[in-house]
Amino acid sequence: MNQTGANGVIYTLLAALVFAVCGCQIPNRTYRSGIGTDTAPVISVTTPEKLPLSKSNPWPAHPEAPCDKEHLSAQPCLAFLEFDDFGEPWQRTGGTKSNAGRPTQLDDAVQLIVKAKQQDPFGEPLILTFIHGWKHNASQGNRSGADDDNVIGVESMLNRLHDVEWKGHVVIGIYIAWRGGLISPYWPVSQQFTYWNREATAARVGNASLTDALIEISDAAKRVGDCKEGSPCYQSIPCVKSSAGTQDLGGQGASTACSPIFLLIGHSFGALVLERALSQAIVTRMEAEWNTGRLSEASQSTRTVNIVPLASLVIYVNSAAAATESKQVMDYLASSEYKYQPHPDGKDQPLFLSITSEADLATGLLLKVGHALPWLGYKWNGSLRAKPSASPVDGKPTTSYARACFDPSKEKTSDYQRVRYDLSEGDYYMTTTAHKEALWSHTVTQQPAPPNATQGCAAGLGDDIYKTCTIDDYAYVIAPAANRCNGTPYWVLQVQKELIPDHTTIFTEKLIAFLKAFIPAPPPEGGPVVDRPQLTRPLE
Amino acid sequence: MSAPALALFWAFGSLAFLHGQAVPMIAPHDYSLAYKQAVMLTCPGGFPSDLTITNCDFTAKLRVQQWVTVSFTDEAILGAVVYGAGAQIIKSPGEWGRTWGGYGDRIGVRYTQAVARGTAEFIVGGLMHDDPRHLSYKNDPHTHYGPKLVCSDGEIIGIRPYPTPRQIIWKRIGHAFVDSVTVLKSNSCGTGARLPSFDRYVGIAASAYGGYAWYPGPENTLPDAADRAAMSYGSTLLGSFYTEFSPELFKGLTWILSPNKKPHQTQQQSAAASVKE
Repeated sequence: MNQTGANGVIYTLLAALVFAVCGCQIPNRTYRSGIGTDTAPVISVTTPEKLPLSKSNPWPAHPEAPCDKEHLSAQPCLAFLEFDDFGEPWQRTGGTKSNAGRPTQLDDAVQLIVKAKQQDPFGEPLILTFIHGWKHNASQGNRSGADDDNVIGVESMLNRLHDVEWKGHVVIGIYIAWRGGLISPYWPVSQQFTYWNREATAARVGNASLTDALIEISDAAKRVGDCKEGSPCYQSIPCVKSSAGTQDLGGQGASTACSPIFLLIGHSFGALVLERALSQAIVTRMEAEWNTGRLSEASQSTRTVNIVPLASLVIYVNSAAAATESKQVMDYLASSEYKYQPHPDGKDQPLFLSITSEADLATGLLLKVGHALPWLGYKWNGSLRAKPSASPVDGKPTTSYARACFDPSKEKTSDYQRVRYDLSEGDYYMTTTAHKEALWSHTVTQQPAPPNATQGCAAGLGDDIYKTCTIDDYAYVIAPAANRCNGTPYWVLQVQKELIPDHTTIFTEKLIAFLKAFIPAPPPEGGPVVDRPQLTRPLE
Repeated sequence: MSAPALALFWAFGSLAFLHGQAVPMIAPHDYSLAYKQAVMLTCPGGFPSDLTITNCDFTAKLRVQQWVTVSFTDEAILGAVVYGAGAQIIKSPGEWGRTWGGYGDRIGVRYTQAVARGTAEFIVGGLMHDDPRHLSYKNDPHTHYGPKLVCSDGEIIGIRPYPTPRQIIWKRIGHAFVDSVTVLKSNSCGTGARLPSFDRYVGIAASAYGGYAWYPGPENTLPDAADRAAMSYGSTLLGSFYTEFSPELFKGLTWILSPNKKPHQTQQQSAAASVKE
């Protein structure tokens, strides 16, 4: 063997090993504990003066300032909740006081929610909870603008909502962080191979601790009685009423109008984290409320039970979760015939919204590559059920692999199939929910916008169109998918690259404008507050 | 080894680190927060209305990251291993046998060349304060195609839209060549002047010279060094073409691999039809 060449191989391998061991791993740590060099767990979101920012205008100040919880109307605040590689909260309060052992960051977030409710003049702040995906965390850089991209994205979105979309309301954010990145971006090839490792971690993080945090946050948002006399919210009549305990929350009672718009957003593997953490909790809650509510007199007269959802809307953007994650929830919603038609016009609204871009190659294409090997393993073990070659006999129990269907608009149609056998379990595993056309609840059609068209979303005239949104040069028509099986409140749709250009670019004005079509609108400034809509399920 | 095989291995090796060559078009944010209501900053190749963009400058952090990844870490190692394998198969240079030792030499020389080129580009590019990222014809701030941001003294004045020009394909091909030998002056608007890419010229020369220590004496003639420089430039040119035509490439790939595509169109059309009704 050529000695120089052999040395070359050895040196290359050694160099790779040394580099790998020395500096490529992103540590498993907390970034926002407020201890030592870590920044405060709740920060104030500041606004730049003009764009583009120049080096002579090094603004805003870094590190970020702690949140001024007494002046939330002036500036949004962002709370951080960090979880470790096994899904446990990083921080707990020590000592012997009543809150000892509690996750400290969660307590801070709950406090922030209470303050936001009190300081919003309508008692209806916007609470945006975001879970990041692969290759991200809650890191704060050592200088202005060096924070994790997603932290900056959420901050930008909060500012936009505060200044434009939800103007006049208090807007706060909760950033749920986990160790999305394992390998430094200085090792771009190795970074790609952490896909399987981080996918498994995302599944672990969506566990009991995060479920508890989400439920506590939701309960804090919906809880009555936080609006005290003297708070800005006390000028809102519904808040005063609910604070006096005239409205109850559970079962058949109407939910209070004095409660925040609570959005849960998960991106990429963050959507997997969110779906894992939420699914069982949501089903448990819905079943419990339905069982409690069906005994009430109101239910007996309306033949439906009203259920207060955990969040105003759960959004999965470019979800990297296999469709197997959503299948069971969709089956539950369909077989239980849930409807979400809160407005007098009787139109359906989403409680879950899985939205992806046709240009999202990471979940559309690379997920198939990533799942190919595990799929082979499942196939080899016989874990994946095939779709039946022929439809089973109507009305008889069957073990054939099936999915439940429900479409409120076709309830009265005699030939409407309530079960379909068109997909195998492998079909679900090898794609994401929103990339599977058979699972779409709605289609989005893009057309050139008419000249001088008003920007924004408007309701469609008939049942055929949900809404039409004019965003820049295009009009997007959102309509129920033809011959759909999924007419449940779990909406699934795919949009064009002009709305979401790729997997990562999601913090855009265009997407906010589009998502506004699905988010319960805040009452106009000074206008009357309407009751918060609820989910209904038939008594029998 | 035949010429087509040579070309194939060269292309394969180049593709192995194309993603690294085509560094993301959007510069990370130099400052927290990020929008402007009137005219928003959109970096060349960026998405309009992206709230996270505050600065299109090719920052020092980006430059260091590019230097480290193309010169030292796994991307550089992978490039050396793949190109080295190609050279091993075609037995280039002939003095090195098809042995493990020969393969080691081939990897070593390529890794050395990557270090030399990356470091030279880092130094010269830093001095020039250029933005070495490739741009497509449409995203180039100086072409008359698509919406163009107009900046003056680092401040946005407005957006000037241009229609699709004639003979666009030839313009795009020509632009890919131009973009491989020029760079933009880096600035916060992303609209800097086009300059000759001195950093690449020096980098290519450094890469060719970097092989001298490894290659056997007879391979160290000026024509041989010129060959190596041409190969090094070839990877840049391929990167430029990849940037120009990657939308079509991915569109084709998606169409091939996605069975949903055809029904999707049909359903959209049916929805459009229902709208008309």
